[in-house]
Amino acid sequence: MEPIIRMENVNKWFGALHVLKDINLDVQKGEVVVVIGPSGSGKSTLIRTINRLEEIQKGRIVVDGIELNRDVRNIDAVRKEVGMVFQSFNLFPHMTVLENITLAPRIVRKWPREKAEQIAMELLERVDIADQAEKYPAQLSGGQQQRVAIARALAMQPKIMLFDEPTSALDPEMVGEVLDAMKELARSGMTMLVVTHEMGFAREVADRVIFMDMGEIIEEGEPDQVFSNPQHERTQAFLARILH
Amino acid sequence: MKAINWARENLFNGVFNSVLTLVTLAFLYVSTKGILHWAFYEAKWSVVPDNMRLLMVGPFPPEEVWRVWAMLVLTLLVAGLLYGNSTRVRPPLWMWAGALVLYALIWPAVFPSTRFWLALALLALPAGMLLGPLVPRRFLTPLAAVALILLFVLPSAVNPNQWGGFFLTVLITVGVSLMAFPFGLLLALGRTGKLPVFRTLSVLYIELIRGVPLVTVLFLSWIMVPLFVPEQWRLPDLISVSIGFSMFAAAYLAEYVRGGIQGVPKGQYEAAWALGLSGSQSARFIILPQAIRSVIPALIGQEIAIFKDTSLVYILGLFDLLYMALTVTKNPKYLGTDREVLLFVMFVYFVGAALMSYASRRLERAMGLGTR
Repeated sequence: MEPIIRMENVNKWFGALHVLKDINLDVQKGEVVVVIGPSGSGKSTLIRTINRLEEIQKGRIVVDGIELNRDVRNIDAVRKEVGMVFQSFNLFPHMTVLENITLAPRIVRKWPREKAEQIAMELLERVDIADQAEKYPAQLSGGQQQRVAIARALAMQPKIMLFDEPTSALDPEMVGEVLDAMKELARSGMTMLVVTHEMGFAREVADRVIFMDMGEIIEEGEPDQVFSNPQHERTQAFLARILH
Repeated sequence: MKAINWARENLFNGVFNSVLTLVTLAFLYVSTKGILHWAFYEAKWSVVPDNMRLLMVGPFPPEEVWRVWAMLVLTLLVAGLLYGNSTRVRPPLWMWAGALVLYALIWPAVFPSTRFWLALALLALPAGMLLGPLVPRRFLTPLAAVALILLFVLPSAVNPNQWGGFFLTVLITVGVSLMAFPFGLLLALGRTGKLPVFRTLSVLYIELIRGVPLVTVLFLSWIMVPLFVPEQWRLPDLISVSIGFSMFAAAYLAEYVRGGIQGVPKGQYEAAWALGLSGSQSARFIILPQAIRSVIPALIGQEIAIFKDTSLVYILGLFDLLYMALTVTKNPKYLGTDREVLLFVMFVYFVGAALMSYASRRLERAMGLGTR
């Protein structure tokens, strides 16, 4: 089967710093891939290349049959199909929760207001905060904001969801509610790429775990295999530090 | 008794402070005695009401002055309607009482025939607020459009060369603001944008304009703008000067807006792009609303500066408030009243600027600036 994301020999530099080195990665439709690794290993950069928030200097990325190159139309087409959730939520502070969610469907997908709002309310129901629709982001807790951010990304009905450390900015007691929303999404068959430090989440829902270090994919495999029986010594060292 | 206690505790607590208080009082008496004596006994304040029409509308033909009144009434009425409709606030009692007090105060300064208009103008704002909630929402836009057209039609029956006084000052302020704002936005977007050509042009324009005095720009536009326009449609000086003024103000507005744009976190751009918004859609829906909201205090400050700087157009022979004031003092009948007239002009500017400042604070609070 044709993978929904294909990365071939992807290389990226920040100035002299080589942050992605010859990355080759295929993701199948419906697959949940969790990317782990020490900070500065390039895992965030990796998923940010998939919707072109980061440009690459060498290699090739094809998303859902669309080649990501300099063509702005291709970039826009990919971004319509790829939703993203950020570490710092990045909700629009001048809009209510409902406006945050309906904005992109209305102006990018050109849906009428009624349709956009109806779908937004369904999504808010799904992430369990329908009663907050008329509030502004600053009036919500971190966990609620991140669930709004998930609903906002889903409102575009993307084929792929990217999560860039979605729980790292949250107070510990709010991590669970966000992970629950993500687990529910994973079970619904969404293709997901998740950068996270939540090893429990990786074990429970990932189809595949990728360990990155210094811009390279060091090791990948099913979660049980990577966590219980890591092959590479850098993976072993990292897991020893995280799991103890 | 309270006052005496307060004075004892704060002004006369100890020998040194008592002496200091007495010296200060003596100094205040000596320094203000002359001014107070002049203001209450010598000043011929009657020059102001006697020339009120000249100061307010300049050489506007007296039989057409109702047009200016109608513009004022219309503006206040529509402002009240829109405000009342959006907030559903009933006009508070102080508004009606204020209208009554103002009527009593201004009454002697207007001709008997225009007292009717004065009453209408004072009642227009609270009446608009009262009626606002009764108007269905879908009628508001057409209503505002009709009002806007009327605001253009009403004064157009009179040659622009005859517009003057405070009326002209307000017209220039509004006209310059309306022209400068979109131009300033474009410059700010150009300067923060990705396209090198626009960025360079914007930077050059902004730095050039900010490097020269407003008077020179006004003079230059007064001489130059007519050269770009065919001979047969001779623009009134008012238009050429306003264009120059707008070009000047736009450079400053652009810098304020740029500050706001650069204050929007990078994550906001990324969230907008990740949702599939194009560059111009992100600017319009995400970046500019936040950027402008955060610089409203600075923008209103610039508005106040425009309002006060309109007084410079008197140099070019436009009959604005300052020009009319100086004309009044040259009238042999009112010789030697420069102080009275200029103080009145300052008072008018001060009230105008204070109202704008007040509106700015209300606007900030309504938008929840600093709270979300």
